[in-house]
Amino acid sequence: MRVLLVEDNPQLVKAYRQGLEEEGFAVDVATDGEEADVKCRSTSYDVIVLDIMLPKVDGLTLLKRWRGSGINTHVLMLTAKATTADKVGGLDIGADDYLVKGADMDELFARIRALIRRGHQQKDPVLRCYNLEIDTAARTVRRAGQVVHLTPREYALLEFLAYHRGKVVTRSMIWEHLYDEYDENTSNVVDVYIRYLRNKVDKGFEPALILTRWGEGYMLRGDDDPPLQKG
Amino acid sequence: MRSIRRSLLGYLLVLIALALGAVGVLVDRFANAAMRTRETAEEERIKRAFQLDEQEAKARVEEAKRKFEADLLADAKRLAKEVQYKLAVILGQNPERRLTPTEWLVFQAGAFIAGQNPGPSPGPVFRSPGGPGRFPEPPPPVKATEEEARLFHLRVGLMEFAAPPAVLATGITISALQPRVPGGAGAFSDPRVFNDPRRYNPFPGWAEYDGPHMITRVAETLGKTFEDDDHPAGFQITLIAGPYNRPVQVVTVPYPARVGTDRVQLPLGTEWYTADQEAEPKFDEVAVPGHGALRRVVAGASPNGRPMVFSVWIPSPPSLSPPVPVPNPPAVQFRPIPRGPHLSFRVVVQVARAPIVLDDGLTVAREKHDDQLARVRTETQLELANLRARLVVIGAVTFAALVLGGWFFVARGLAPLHILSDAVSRVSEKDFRLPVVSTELGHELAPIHARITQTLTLLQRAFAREKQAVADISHELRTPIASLLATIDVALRKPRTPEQYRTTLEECRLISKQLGQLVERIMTLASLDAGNDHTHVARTDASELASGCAAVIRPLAAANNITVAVRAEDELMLHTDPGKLREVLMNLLHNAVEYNDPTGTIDLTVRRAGETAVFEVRDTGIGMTPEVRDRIFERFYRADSSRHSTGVHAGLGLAIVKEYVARLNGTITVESEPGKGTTFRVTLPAPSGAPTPVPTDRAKSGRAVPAAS
Repeated sequence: MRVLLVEDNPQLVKAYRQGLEEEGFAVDVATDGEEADVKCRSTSYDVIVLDIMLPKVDGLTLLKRWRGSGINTHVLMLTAKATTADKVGGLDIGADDYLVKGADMDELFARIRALIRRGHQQKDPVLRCYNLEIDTAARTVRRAGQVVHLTPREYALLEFLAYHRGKVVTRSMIWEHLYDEYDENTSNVVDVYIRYLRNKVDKGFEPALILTRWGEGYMLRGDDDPPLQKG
Repeated sequence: MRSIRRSLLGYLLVLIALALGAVGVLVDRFANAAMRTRETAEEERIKRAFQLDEQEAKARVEEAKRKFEADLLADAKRLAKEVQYKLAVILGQNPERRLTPTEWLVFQAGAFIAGQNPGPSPGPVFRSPGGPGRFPEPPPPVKATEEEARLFHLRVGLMEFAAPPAVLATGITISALQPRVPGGAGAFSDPRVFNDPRRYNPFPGWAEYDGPHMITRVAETLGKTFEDDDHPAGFQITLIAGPYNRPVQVVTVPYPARVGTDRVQLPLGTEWYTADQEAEPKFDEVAVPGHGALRRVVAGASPNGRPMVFSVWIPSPPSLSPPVPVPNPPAVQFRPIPRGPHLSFRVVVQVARAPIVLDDGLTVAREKHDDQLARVRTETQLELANLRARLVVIGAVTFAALVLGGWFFVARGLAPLHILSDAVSRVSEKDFRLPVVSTELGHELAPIHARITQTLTLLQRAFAREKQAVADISHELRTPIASLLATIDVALRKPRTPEQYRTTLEECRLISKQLGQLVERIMTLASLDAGNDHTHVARTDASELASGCAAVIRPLAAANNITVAVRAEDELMLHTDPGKLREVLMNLLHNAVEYNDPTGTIDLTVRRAGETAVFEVRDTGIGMTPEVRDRIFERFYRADSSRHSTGVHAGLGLAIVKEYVARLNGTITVESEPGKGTTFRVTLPAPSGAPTPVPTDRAKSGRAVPAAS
């Protein structure tokens, strides 16, 4: 899941970025309003974490502008302004959530996850596909009751596939949502990670859940997909 | 708490009460004076009327008295006359007859002789009416019948009068002779009788009385001639009988002698028995038991002061033999009767009457006078009392009306205060506008309204500033704390290598340091606001200080490709607080670096201008619009609200600069043009004369304390 962190305090950026990346998010950073605007319009982020006090263009103006031009990306306002009026103002402008700076990192992560679930009309934090269970809160994966250990990137890929279960996700979509602006775009990195994932998730289990659509991309097996088709 | 309304009403009422009281007293006094004047005039009039009445009454009394006495006298005279006539009739004499002077002389002479020689008188010389000669023996006296006796006059004879009164009383015989009609019954033809000098009127039938009885009888007879109401006044007739000037018997006529319905005795003074000159009636007062003092007039019945004198015949002496009834009586030997002193009757009449109530009119007039006076006084008192009562009632009613009206009108008058009060009470921290316009309040309250509005505006600004400051402070503090927390949180999520921990700790240290600086600045401002800072004045070389500051900022500037140039006059000595001045300059230089363009320049100039030292910091940075320039000294204000170039400036630097400059008795001005640069100019006092050192730390705190003398 790719997150845009809009924040001008360098220490804060550094801490949040590290935390989010370690949580498996792909993090882009914008340190002023204009930069954030550009990045938001060029990339499809899952969540934008937006500060209000920003150089050049402040967060509220930015959000208003985005909502006005039809950008529906989930926005979590993370600011030092803690009054109810500020919160109400932010939410009324179009923010999806509001968090005051100084809150626990866990809360921040949980809220971001909740926003992601909301984006996929998913209420249950546990994603299920046949006998595969993905606990998005604990970031654990079980296949037929057995715990599957995944690296953060593998987990992110699986989770992304699970959120789009039954639908084909292209490589560029995967790239766009799982890698940040600093990652080197090597052509087969997605394929490599798919293979790792199959080894851990599908190997030794039936049916195979990670399907390949040749020429298009990959998908997690949906309920109406033929159960015994081998990818 | 005191009520203005009540106070105003109280003052008003006191004023009104005083005014009413004064008016009441004046009216009362004038009315009193007018009443008194009228009363006095009325009294004068009444007194004059009374005096007139009194004079009239006195005159009337005098007149009445005079008339009374005249009446009394007239009564007395009339009575005297009447008595005279009646007595004369009784005594058979002509009442009109008066003794001729000759007779009177003879009478007096006879009296004299009788007085000299009381013996038997020589025989009188009688001349018979019929002629001289001896009278034949008269027929014996015949007692007359009662009827006849009433019809005849009386004749009185006194047998012996020369004797002393005691003798007289027993010796005198008075004969009441019945007159005979001349020519009737033959008696008149009897020459003896007719010619008998003793029988001057020889009538048949006669009664004999002794002297006292005779006089009594005369008195009784006289009394019978009066009726009860003949005379209105009480009167009394006294007969005094005796020889001339020698009264031997005093008889009061028994009837009538009365006053009113009572019969009373009026005492008669003895001087009247013998008085010879009592012709004039005499008035006097006589005390009568049961009737008080009566006014009396005493008068002799006889005018001219002369007594009535009656001729008296002496009958046969006792020694004589009684007449023998014979057909032809022998001739009687008569002794000649002395023509001597005759019996005289002196008649004294008294008329007495109760004196009229002389002061009757006077009393009435006096009573009337007193009545009128009393009435006038009572009326005056009553009117005064009425007037006062009315005044009191009017005053009370007026007062009551004013109390009610005053309460109402004072409330109306104070209505603007209520409006203002309501308006003020509606002011809240949410809305500082005074919800009333001054035209509603009247011009007395306009200054208050203006003042309140002004104060509220200031308050609102201060409130907003305070609110903003709190928000700003919390925001400014929250960001570094959040980054600290976030850094630590992230570091703790996973096991790290020592190198990573070290990096994290350095991170944290940096953040904490910035946080400390921020807190320091906030504290500084708070301390400045609280007035707890101290100005440490010292002799300072401005040039040196400026150079030092430039040297400190130069590395930072160099990192941004900014050149710093210092132009300072030598030996510009100041008496000021070097610490604060350094802080000011450092802040300005930091700003100059922060807001400068890359490769820009900063000029720090120190020079003297008259009695002041001028510090200028000029940069070639982004500059400011006038709107921004007006607000840069506000706390937490930043031209770019999100700028965090250096991290330590939370919009407090210029606020602190401004406070410090004020403490140093200086001024700070800004010139700026967007895109070209900004110049801050700090002007501090620098007397050109030899500056006298002042003790350090002498000045405590407060803006008014001069930094240098």
